[in-house]
Amino acid sequence: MTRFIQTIKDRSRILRSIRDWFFQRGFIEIDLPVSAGEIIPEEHIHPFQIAGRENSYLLPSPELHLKPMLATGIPALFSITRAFRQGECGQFHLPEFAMLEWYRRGVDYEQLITDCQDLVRHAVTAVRGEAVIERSGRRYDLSAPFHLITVSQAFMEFAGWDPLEVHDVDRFDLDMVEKVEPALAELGGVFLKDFPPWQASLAALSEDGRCARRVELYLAGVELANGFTELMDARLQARRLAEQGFPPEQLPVGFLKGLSHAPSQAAGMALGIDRLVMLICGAESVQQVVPVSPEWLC
Amino acid sequence: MYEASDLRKGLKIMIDGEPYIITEFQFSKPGKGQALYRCKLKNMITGLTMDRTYRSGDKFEPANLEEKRMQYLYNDGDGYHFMDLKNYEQVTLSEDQVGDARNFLKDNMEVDILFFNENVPISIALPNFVELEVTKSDPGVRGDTATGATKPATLETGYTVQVPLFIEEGEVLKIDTRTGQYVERVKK
Repeated sequence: MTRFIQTIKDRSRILRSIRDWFFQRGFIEIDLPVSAGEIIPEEHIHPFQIAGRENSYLLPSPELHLKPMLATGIPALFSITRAFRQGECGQFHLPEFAMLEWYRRGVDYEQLITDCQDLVRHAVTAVRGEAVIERSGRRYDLSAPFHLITVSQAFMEFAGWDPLEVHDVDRFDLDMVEKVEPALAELGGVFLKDFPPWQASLAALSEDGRCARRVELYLAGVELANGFTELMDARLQARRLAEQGFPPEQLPVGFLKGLSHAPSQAAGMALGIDRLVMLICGAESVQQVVPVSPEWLC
Repeated sequence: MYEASDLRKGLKIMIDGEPYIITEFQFSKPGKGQALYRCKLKNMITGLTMDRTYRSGDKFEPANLEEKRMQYLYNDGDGYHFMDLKNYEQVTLSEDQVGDARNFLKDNMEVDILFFNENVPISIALPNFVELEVTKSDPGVRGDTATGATKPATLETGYTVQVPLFIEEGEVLKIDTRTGQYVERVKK
């Protein structure tokens, strides 16, 4: 059997194991359109606009449709969908990629950390028979609890400064890529939590307002999942987006309206399925683990 | 002018007035952050490498590089001498710049030489295949008929290559300059 066929089979098994994991826990699967009439503005995410139509986009993330679904009263929901981001082409990036998102009512991001660790182990074991992955000649045993460190701790230790004290977006991105991520690769599974508020416009803040309740999972140094205790207050959300410099006409009106009917507390997480498959299959790039690589979008 | 999003492996750009080639490239985008373009770059004149990370908005001049068709003349203590067939101007490349190509260069051979800013020679590109005469090769040992059996042969440039046992001195061989390997015997 060629490596490609093996990868496609493993991918199918991973998708099934993910669905199994959620169904065993009472989650409802939601299937969604990949397009929408508005988007949640993010400075560094460039959506594809649909040609010949004003105000219609291929969604860069399903949260626009999914988060307001919490208002239906469903306590736990997930979606496996396609997401589209212009200009994202590279070893870990595809301009069209597979994304998993899940949401729970009445919990905070601590629950996401538990969910995520358990789900990743479940998917890895479904294919490999044990909770072990290999990357760049290294073996990572994922059966021990994943590391949990704050952004402050990580930056103080690996980059020598604290982003909760100093607001420097360019330095944050650069040091994250050049210093922090390579150091995290040594640790196997790591949750990085409590980001500066300017790094999480959709997340709830801590009580003292110093940090956002956002968490990221890094596996073998690869950013795999991102989640937060959701900001569920529509007015506060509109204000946070305005503070980021987005003009009123760019605010996602439908999304904000949907939020105002949703529960007061919820948490949600997104996970890149192509990256997970890459890590489980020991592939070098996401291009190697998709049945068809969308290179016409690169 | 190139944008940061045009950067990729193999692209040749100007940095601080010198030509660089991108030898390794990685697109990176941390979390909610900006796109970063991480490059390993090699200075095309000095051969030294460095790491640089660029971001959207950074702009780059393409390196002013030009290939010229030239004829190989000879080598001496100063290096390897070539002549432009159009204007008869001569240029000299060092041992390092010629590199492994020296194994395949014979008098009057036409090659492409890469120039920076019109007159600074950087490197040499050979044709993929060259034909070279065998100047020395011992006869194959009789009875040694194992498939794939080879023996060494020295070519007119001094380069030694593994050839099939039936090859004799004075024959002309086709050599792949990319791998340095024997391809076939050239019919006279």
